[in-house]
Amino acid sequence: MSNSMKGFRCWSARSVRETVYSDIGALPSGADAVFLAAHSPMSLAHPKGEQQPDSDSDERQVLDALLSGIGDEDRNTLIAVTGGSGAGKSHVVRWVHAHLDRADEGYHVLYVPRAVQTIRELLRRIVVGLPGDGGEEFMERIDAAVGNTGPAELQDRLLEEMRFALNWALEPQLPRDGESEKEREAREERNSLLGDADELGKRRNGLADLLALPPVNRVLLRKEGRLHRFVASVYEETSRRDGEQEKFEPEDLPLRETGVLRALAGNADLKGLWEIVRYDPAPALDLLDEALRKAVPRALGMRTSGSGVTLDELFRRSRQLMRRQGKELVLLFEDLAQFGLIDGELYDQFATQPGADLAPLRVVFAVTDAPYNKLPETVQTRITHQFKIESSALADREAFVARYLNLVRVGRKDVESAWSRVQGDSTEGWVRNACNTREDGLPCRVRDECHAGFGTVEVSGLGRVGLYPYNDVAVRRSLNNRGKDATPRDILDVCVSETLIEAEAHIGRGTYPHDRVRDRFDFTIRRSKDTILAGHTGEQADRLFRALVVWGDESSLNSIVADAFSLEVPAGREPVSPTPPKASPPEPNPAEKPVPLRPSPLPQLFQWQVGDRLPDSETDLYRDLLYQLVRSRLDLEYALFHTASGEGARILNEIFNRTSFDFGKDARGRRAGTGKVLFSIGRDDDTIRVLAAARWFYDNGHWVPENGVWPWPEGYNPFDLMVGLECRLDDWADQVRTAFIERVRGRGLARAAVGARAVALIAAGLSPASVQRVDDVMTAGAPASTPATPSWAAADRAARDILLNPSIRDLVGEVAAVRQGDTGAAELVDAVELEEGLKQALRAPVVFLRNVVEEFREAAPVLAGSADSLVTAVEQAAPGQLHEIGTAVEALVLGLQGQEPAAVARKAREVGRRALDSGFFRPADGWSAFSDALETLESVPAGLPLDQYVSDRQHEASDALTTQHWTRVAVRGAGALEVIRRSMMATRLECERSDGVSGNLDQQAQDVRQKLGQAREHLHALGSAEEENNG
Amino acid sequence: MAEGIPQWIEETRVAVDRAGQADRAQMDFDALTTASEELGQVLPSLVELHNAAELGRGVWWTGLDVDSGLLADLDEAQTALDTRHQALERRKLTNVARRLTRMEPRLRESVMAAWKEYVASQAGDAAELRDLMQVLSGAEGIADVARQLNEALGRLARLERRLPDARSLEVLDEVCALFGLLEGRLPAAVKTFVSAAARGGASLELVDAEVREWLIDNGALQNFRAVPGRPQEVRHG
Repeated sequence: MSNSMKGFRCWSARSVRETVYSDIGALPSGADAVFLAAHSPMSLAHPKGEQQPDSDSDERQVLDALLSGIGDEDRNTLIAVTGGSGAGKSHVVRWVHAHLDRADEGYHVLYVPRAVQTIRELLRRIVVGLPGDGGEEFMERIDAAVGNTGPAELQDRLLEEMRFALNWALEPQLPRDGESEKEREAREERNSLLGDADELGKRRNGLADLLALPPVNRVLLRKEGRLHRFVASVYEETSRRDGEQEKFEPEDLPLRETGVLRALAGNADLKGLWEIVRYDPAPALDLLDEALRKAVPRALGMRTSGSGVTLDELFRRSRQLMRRQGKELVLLFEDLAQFGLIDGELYDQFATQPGADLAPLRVVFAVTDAPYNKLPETVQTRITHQFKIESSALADREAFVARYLNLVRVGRKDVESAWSRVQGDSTEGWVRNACNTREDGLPCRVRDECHAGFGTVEVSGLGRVGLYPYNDVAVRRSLNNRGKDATPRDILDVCVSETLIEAEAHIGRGTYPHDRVRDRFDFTIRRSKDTILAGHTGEQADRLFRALVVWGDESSLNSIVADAFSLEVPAGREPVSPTPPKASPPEPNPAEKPVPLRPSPLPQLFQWQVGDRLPDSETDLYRDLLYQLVRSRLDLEYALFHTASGEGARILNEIFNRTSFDFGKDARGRRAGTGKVLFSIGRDDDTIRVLAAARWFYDNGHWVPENGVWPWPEGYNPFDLMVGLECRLDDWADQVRTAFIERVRGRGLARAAVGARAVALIAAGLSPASVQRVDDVMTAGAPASTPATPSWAAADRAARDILLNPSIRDLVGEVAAVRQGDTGAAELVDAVELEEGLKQALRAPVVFLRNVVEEFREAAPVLAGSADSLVTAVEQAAPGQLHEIGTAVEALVLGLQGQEPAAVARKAREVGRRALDSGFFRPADGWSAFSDALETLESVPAGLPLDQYVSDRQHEASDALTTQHWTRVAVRGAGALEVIRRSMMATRLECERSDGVSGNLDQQAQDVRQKLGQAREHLHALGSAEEENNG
Repeated sequence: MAEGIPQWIEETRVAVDRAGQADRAQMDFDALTTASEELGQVLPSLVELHNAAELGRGVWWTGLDVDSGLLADLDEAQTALDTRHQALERRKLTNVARRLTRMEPRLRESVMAAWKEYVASQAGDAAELRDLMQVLSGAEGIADVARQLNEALGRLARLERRLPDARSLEVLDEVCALFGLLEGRLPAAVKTFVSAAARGGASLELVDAEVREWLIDNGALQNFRAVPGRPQEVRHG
């Protein structure tokens, strides 16, 4: 009889916490045993430095390189271990540290693990680790600088030191030989940002001056800013990963605040600099980083202007002491980035070569690629070796996990005990295999069942390690879930720590795999949930579903696994053999070349059913195909609603579109709002079947499983899918149809369009008698009659807008007409219902328009808006218009005195012409206006109902509207008559002024006659001399 | 109100008609006023010319061909004004007055030309004669006459530029008398020469040795010069 594994666990949450450290920085420095027990050898490239003979490709070559330098008194050894974040660099340094011989008198080791978090602690660690004196004084000064100062004050001091650095300490960079154009530009930009030195050497109008501006100052000192974070790291431990490179960010400057420009008013130079910074803040942020680096040692008291001990001095003293002792100084830094803003002190030491009074340095440090490339040239050129992590411990991911599975089973105490026994003599084989030794050195009692049901992994130095609680599928899905680029840290955090701790509790309670398993593992499925469960329901259904997916790969569940997880194997799912041989695929017949099927798109749908997010493209596609399928069965044309284009399409689209299918909150895009048709697409089995059916039919156009372009979904019946889809589509189409008809109020919208056009025609000057039939209304254009009077102009414009709007006219054809023929144009209008609407409009036009506005504000906003404009304009114009009409009628009655307008005009023209000829016409320059007025008056038809027009103003707006066809002529004629009358009056006055002669005409004639006689006498005398003489 | 015409139009029509008549009367009056003014300006000049012509009638004024059309128009205009019942022909009246005005300078020029010609025929070139008289005013025996003649010639020169009147004729007579007295006091040969020279020029044959000596003795040689051509015929009245 085999042993049951029900509820079995060979680890505990405590053992996990004691042994699994994803962050090497969090691993206590004395925990080498735990560290080494789970250590997986790594592969390192050696791109720089001499290779040691017989050197391996793993971390041992780093140790060899370090040890090979020892004894060389003339040179330092700098070894950089580089790689991406989480690749295992710190592990390598830690491994080297664990394998250095502590008893060796030839060197002194200063080891700084990643666990050191604050700058104070880091400095303390260095000071304590360095032999020699002076450290105490140094730390006292640091403690005084930090301890006697609050964070806010230190932050402000830092900022002032940065300004000092920018104004004085940072030097302009000089051109370098061979610098690229880009480098030259960057250098010049930096120098420009520093500002110009004045006569005293202080820089003016540079970045330092900008930092002094209150808005800039405030943002730099804000909470969560770069300075704030740094100061926090001085006082308290803060989490930090080596991938995180602290630096100033654009948010550290008030780039979008207008207050800066106000503060800069009057300083054109500084304003110009600020504009440059705003345009591209990156160079300024780099310079701020540079300034902060200068400022930190001063603000923290590491450098003094006096004679105090500095970090450099401490290093020198140590090296001098060790030289005297014949020792060397080994520095091991798990993360060089820890030194951050004080790394300059360290780099100075790296660059200081040993001599007669200085011991050499042997340094191994880990650093990520980006900072490594940015190391100062003085350090770069002195790097002796660079080792680059190529493939990490994850080269064999199952083995990597298995080492930890074994470690948590063995436990920390056991491991430390074993390590203490071997202590550096062996790098492999000192850790026991828990599966084989768990029962007091004997194999675990369920080993055979466990290894058979969950499988094993061969691990170098350990042998076969059981995968429990994983099996091969589960470990694959777990690792896959972390992604292709997962780091060891990622895998340890989730695949080992979290998974094991959770599993331990849930297996014990019989609730494993619990709901979160779906997040811990790759939960990709290819079949629907109900297919996978094959109808199994009940309280275990969800747990069983998760187990079937993660451990059973959607097909079958090993009985041992089911037993361990307290699951009952469902009917129809017989226990399979513990290690089911994978059936090899049948050999294809070379003669048959089946058309390759596309992969099924349904797994994404099934994945969505179990909680994943449906990809946006899939959501869009399902929305689209459902929309098209429902749209195609609306059949609104039968009810004379044309929705293929135009207003009908717009109205339909407003209430029903792709957003009507709501795939839940996590789906892309908005969901249809209020007043719209909304279909909630749930993740229930029925809806999933409808979606699968819709997708199949959409892609294939038939229900024949064998002829699909992708495989028929396993577990589904074609007939069931078809019927389910049809029923659902019909239901949805019914809802849409009902909503549409409600929206257009049956024929109400068409009636509104006809009525609105009729009112518009009347308002534009057409007689109500001429728009009594629907056909008249639909065919009549905007009348080109007498222009509206000024008081009616706005109403006339609004009316013409309606008449010229094709969408309003087309409404009738789209919601109340039969469309047929080649063009599909509206052929036959449902006139019966429309005539009734027309009558209402003509009977009470203003009330009708108001109703249109109210009823169709949402369904037909263009029509409702136009109607609103018209009725508003009519109501606003009516009082003025009626007053205008009243005045005009009065003027016409008075002026025409019962005569026809044309006859009066003719007479006035005759008199005016005579006055013009005799020079009496007035105004003297008014003939043209008079003549125009005569023409206007002549055009006024006889028989205007002037006498019938009474001041009955009970329906002001309607009265003004329905009399437009004659009143605008009357108003115009009255205006012309007024011009004519004024001219006549002025002319008459002029004539009366001219009636009389200014002197005595007869007397003047007598005088002239006499003078003429005298003149004749003299002429005669002058001409007749000879005659008289002769005579 | 006239039938079929609104009252306001009819009132205007009446006013226009009435004002038209008044306007014509005013234009007649204006035309008469203008003609009267123009005639008033030209009449004094015609009176002057008439008087001058009267003085010279039969002596130096032989009459002028006056435009008969103008005389006829004057008659017609006069007649028209006599009968005021017909419309005044304002244009014709204006035309007549204007033609009279334009004729006046021509009449004046004719009268003046006739007068000047007459003076020259009686007293020669008065200016040149005065020069000679100034030279001879120192000559023995003729000095007093020469001085008186010089003064008379001065007065005649001023009067010669105006229409002649009775005073102008008196001065001309005085000049002629004094010149005769002067001639009477000269040697015979000199008298012939001076008389010819003073009245249009003497031929070189008249300048003999006696004349030349006399001219040199009296310092008058420089008052004569030889010019090509024949001496002018001088009429003696």
